Amino acid sequence: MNSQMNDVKQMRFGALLSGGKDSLYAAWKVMQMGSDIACFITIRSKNAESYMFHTPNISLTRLQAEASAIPLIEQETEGIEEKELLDLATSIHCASEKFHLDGIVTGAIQSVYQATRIERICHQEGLWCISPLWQCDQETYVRSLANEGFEVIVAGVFADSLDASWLGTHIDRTFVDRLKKVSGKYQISIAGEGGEYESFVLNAPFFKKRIIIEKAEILFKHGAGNYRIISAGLV
Amino acid sequence: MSRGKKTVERVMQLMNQPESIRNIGIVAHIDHGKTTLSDNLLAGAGIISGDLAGKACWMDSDEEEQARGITIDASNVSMVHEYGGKEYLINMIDTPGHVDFGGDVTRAMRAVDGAVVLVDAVEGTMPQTETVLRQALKERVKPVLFINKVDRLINELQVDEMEMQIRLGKVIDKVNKLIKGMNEEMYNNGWKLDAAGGTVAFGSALYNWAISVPYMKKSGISFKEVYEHCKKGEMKELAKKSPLCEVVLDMVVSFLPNPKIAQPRRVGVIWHGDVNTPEGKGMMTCDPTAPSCMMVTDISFDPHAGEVATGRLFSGKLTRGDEMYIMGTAKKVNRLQQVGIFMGPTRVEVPELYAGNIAAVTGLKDAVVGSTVSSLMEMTPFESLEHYSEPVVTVAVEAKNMKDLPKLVEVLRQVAKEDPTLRVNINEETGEHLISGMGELHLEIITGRIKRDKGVEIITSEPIVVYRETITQELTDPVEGKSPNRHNRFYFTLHPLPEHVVEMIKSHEISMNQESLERRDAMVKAGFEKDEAKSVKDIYATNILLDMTKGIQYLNETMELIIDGIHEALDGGPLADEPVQNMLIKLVDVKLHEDAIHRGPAQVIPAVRSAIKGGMLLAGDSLLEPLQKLHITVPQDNMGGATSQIQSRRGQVFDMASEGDTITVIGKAPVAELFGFAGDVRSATEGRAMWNSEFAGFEIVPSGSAKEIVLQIRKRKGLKEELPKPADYLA
Ligand SMILES: Nc1nc2c(ncn2[C@@H]2O[C@H](COP(=O)(O)OP(=O)(O)OP(=O)(O)O)[C@@H](O)[C@H]2O)c(=O)[nH]1
Ligand SMILES: [Mg+2]
Repeated sequence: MNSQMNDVKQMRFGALLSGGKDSLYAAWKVMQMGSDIACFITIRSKNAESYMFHTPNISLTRLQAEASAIPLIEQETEGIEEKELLDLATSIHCASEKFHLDGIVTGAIQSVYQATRIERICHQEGLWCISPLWQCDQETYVRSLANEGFEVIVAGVFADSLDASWLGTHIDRTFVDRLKKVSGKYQISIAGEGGEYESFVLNAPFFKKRIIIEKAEILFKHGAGNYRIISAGLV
Repeated sequence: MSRGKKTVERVMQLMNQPESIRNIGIVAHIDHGKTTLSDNLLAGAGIISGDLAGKACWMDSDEEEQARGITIDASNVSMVHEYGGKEYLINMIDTPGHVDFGGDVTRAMRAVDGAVVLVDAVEGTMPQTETVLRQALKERVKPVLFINKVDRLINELQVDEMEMQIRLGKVIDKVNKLIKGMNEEMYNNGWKLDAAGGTVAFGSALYNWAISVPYMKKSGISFKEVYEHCKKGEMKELAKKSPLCEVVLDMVVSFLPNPKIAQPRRVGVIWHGDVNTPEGKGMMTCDPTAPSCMMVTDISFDPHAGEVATGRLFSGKLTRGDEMYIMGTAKKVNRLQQVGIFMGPTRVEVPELYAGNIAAVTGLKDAVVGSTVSSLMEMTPFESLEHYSEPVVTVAVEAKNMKDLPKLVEVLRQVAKEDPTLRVNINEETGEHLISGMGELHLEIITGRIKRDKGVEIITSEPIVVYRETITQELTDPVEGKSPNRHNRFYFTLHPLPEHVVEMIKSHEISMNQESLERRDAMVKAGFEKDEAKSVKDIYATNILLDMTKGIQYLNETMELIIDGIHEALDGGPLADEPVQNMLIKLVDVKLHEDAIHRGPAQVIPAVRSAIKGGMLLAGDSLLEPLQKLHITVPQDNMGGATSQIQSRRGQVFDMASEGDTITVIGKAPVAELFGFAGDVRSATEGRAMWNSEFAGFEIVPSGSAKEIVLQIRKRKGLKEELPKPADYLA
């Protein structure tokens, strides 16, 4: 989980990809350091309540991989707590063999639960594990997304005070201010690290093409909601 | 005024001698003559001129009070009385009689040690007589009785001497019966009223005379003489021979306790801290050298000095510049600016003020009515001032001019600070704020003052009734609340709280201010199992939260958020977003994400809130409406008009008592139906009805009208106009 960027140069990494801003931004940071992202790894959970891997539009990581012309390793899991970690270990192992990886990139910022488990797997495989966003200043990070050319939308809300009107909106230059305004006593983490919201990346500086949403629907119930992308394409 | 000044000097000498102090309240049913009595006592003590007194205009100094002829705010005054060759300092509070301002009586009773209970000789004891007596006894304030308006017995009812004695005896018996019923122990220990013993006086506050058995002995005047003078209309003569002020203040000095005697009795009731601490000892002995402990019982606004906090100083002393702390706030120093006492409507500064007095100070900017103020950074706060009645009527107010928007918010905060019986709900987003109060008059006065005193033009809505919600069934199959991220789950069972437990909460027999062991014992006494009794995590209004889980990791650090979520649900139930009451909530299981960021407020609060709300719908959540007890006295001929006025308002008549050619109709009706009652009953009885009302608690809205009312409320509040379902809250 160290981010000693000097060590990172010229290495080959596999990046865990959830579709959201953190995983793609982490990958971008690694690329900027001069290393290669040799592949993306996506774990798709059948359990909507998985502690590790559930995000609303996980099936669309395929498009993101295609847009960036980087191969994708996909792995399905039943999503049973801890057992899903075995599935993760398996796919990291496969990716490492196939793409001769030196390490794994994660988008973890604060979640000790996720970070420690991934690190343990990497350790067993003899791989580096880096999380370029670890303990970063969340506000600076989220504000820099738009500035650095990331096009990101809110794809899920799971917190009191975030309602359906947030779904599908862009994480643009005003996003942080809007979020702070409603956060109040709820102490919403700006990067959504408490699972308050999920994002989906439509474009990134290293994408060769960008993603266009053709059809989507908003589902909101019991204080939580998803922006479900039904169909999307690349241009 | 020079006499007034001289009084100040005498007052200052006496202030430091607790044995010479009497803190008293004047309490009674509306119009029984409290203010007339207070004015005349003041006049007798030389603070206002004798000519002005009796016109009820010194104590009732507010123009609104003078125009309406009623007292609205309690007022404080200090005076000196000589008895048996010694001087005494009397700190007196005149209280309002109208039920809408009953909160002032509740607060005054915390500040005083004794009360002069007035009863109109003609009307006899009335509903508010009973209420104020109960409040006094609850605070361990000792009562003496003054039967007022005796002149009316003779002049209007033409009773003879014999009948007069019988009538007076009846009033005494009635009041004694009330005292005995409320606190038999104190009744048997010397609080029984006894004319021969000297704890009863009677007379005419208006005509400035009074009489008591001890005074008869002292002055040699006989009952017969009094009767004769009165009969002949020689009131001035009588006032000279047997002056009101002498008789009443003699009684006060002889039979009401000084702070040194009263405090040991009262402290155990109004304060639940450890009496062996320095502050505990200080209050038990009224020690001016101990840490200062004061309870704020009134806050008023003085155009020159700003906010003036009045309250009882139970220990220590107050000096300008002292650093004080307000319990329950952010431990910021509040520095005393002025330290003073009241004289009629004027406040006089004194260099120092000692334990056992009623203080009026400025500089306590963080204090609200009910605050515990101390020279210590931390002390157990006094029991909160619980008013027997609850806000039942609401009006919405808005600033008329855009420019007043921020000012109105500020004014409303101030108003809420000054009157704790009001509930003020500020909504800066919409600019429409809600003020809930005891009744129509209460709100009329408050909104009037916002315009008059604070200079903010406002638009006021029609009054709206305040409702409540409660469950009517048990929910023993735990309801599950999931956090939006679905990684945290909370399981609750819900139970209607038995009436006797509700009463114990209201009387502070069970409270979060208690030491946990004391609370556990009280809970066991209330009938809870031991493991439940020790698991109280929160008491909010009359709802209790028990944590019945065992050994759940991270639960402790999450409990505060759970309580937040519960408060949100209790502040507005699922049915109509009205406050929830009388519910026992048991937390029976919890599942928490191990990462702190995944179980923050945005996750825990909604999960708990929706579990409680959904659960309430499964447990027969019902709407409660406030009722008012009505007491209408009319001539026999107009009885029909009075009863039909009650019955046509979904009301119920349960008693009628005739006396001579008048009849008193007693009944109750929902507050919702009582708007405009004053006008209607007047025309239905040709203006001959005398009536008053008092809060009679909340009752479940009859099922016939419930749905319609719920939908009306939901519509007014902009909620979905259909009855809510459990599935709206539960996944
Ligand atoms: N005849 C007669 N009238 C009295 C006497 N005492 C007071 N009154 C009248 O009763 C009315 C009410 O007197 P207040 O002193 O204002 O009564 P109160 O108890 O202070 O009233 P609230 O503060 O509104 O509860 C006034 O019109 C007085 O003049 C009395 O001894 N005899
Ligand atoms: Mg009065």
